[in-house]
Amino acid sequence: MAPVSPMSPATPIVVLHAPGDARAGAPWREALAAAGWNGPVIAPDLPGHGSAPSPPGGSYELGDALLSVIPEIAALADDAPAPIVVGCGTNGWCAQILGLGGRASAVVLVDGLNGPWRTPRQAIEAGVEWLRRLADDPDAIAPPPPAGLDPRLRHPMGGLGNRAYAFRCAAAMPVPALIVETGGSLVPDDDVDALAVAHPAGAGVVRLETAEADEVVRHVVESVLRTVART
Amino acid sequence: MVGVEPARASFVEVNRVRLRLWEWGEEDAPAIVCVHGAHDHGRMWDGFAPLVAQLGYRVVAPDLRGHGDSGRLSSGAMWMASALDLGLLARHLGPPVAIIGHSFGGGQALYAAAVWPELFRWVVNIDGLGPPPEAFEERDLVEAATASVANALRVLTTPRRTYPTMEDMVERRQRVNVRLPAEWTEHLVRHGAKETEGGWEWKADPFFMVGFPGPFDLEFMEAEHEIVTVPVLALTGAEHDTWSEMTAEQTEARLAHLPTARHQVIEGAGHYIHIEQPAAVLAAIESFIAEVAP
Repeated sequence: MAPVSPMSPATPIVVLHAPGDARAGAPWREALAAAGWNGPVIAPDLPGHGSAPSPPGGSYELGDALLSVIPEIAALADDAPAPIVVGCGTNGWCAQILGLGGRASAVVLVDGLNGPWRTPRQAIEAGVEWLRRLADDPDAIAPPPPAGLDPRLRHPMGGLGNRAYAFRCAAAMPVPALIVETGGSLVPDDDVDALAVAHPAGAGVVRLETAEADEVVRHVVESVLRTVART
Repeated sequence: MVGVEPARASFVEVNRVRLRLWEWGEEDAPAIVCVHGAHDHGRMWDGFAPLVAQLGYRVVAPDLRGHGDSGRLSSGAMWMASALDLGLLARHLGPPVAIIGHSFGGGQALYAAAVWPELFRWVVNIDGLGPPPEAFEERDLVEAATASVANALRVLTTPRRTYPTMEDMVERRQRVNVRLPAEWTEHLVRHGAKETEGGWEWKADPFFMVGFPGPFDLEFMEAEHEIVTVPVLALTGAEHDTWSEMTAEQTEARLAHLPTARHQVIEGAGHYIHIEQPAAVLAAIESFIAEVAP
């Protein structure tokens, strides 16, 4: 990961777990605690996951994670450094918004580049198929459960899938980034490298052979804490 | 008082949201769904819906989620959720239904019909082809993200704006919709506002105004239009108006991506074509129906 400065053990760490992850924020909270991290952590169960109820209206939008953490980030102490924001899966986009929007000192994108790439027509057709699947799944349109993984999330919305937009985000990102690509990555290797180079504040790339959730969490937590310790 | 009070008012639960429905016409007649635009509500059809009902239709005008008396939404990125509401509403009413939409609702009508062509027979789009091309120009991402996060924080943490009187809301709206007849502005405000402690506030969910930068651009909108397969009548007003900012050439370029569309320009109308020129809009729809669904 490129140097992050200023950084201290008081640097808050924000984690936006992947949509549809039944374990929600718990593995991240546990891994940070197990690693001895005693700085501020904002790693909530996002709406419709774990202990968090579904969002108002029961539908899921890409901005849900942002709306969950923006007030918490704003409530951090005035003298606290801006947080490192980890965004997983399609929530990599949310981490990017916080980085672009001046609310992060660094962003960590865990399979968060929002691949696979699609043409606009392919993206629209994917959206059509997604809506038709939702309409035909009674559990997905019935009132949501009060807690636990919402069955609607069995139908993942898919990422933004826009290669040009991914490069625009990279080129505009004012803070350092760490790009973590697991065995489940949907972005071509060449593009991952090119996107890293496009970050003006620097970006590192970590490739993990595995896509196993616990291992990914452990690797990412180690990488983030190593960066904090180094600076 | 403008228009005709709905014959029936009810609620229906679809897609996890409670939708307010306003209805005119016989309950067993073929259904036409009328979809209002952004910040409006189903009562905006009080003038036009009774005319359509007289043609022998059951007209059903929902308040979209986040609008009027219907349920809440989580953000302004409700395009797909709202389209799903319309698809499930069509199933509830007994498909296939027809659909008329104004402005944002016109876009919703096109999209819902594109997703479920088996549920929607035809679409009338009233000045709902989307914003002009310049609205899609790329913004500086840092600037856009900074502003959107600040806006979200403001909506999340500050009380809703309260107006001392309903007249203040009418005055506010008149500044935006300058062509709307005064009695219609008052009507839209009367049904779009609710009394609260200390004054009045809009029924429309403030989260409708929350959004974040993304890749959606003109090419996406055109791709979305290209997948519409049911017959479409697109109506635009001849007069320049707020939310009616496309030139004739830009409108034609937009329509080139709607292969099933016929287009008609209505004279003497701006954005609220069906309010300004209801007889002309009704005649256009009658001709359209005679052509595509006799």
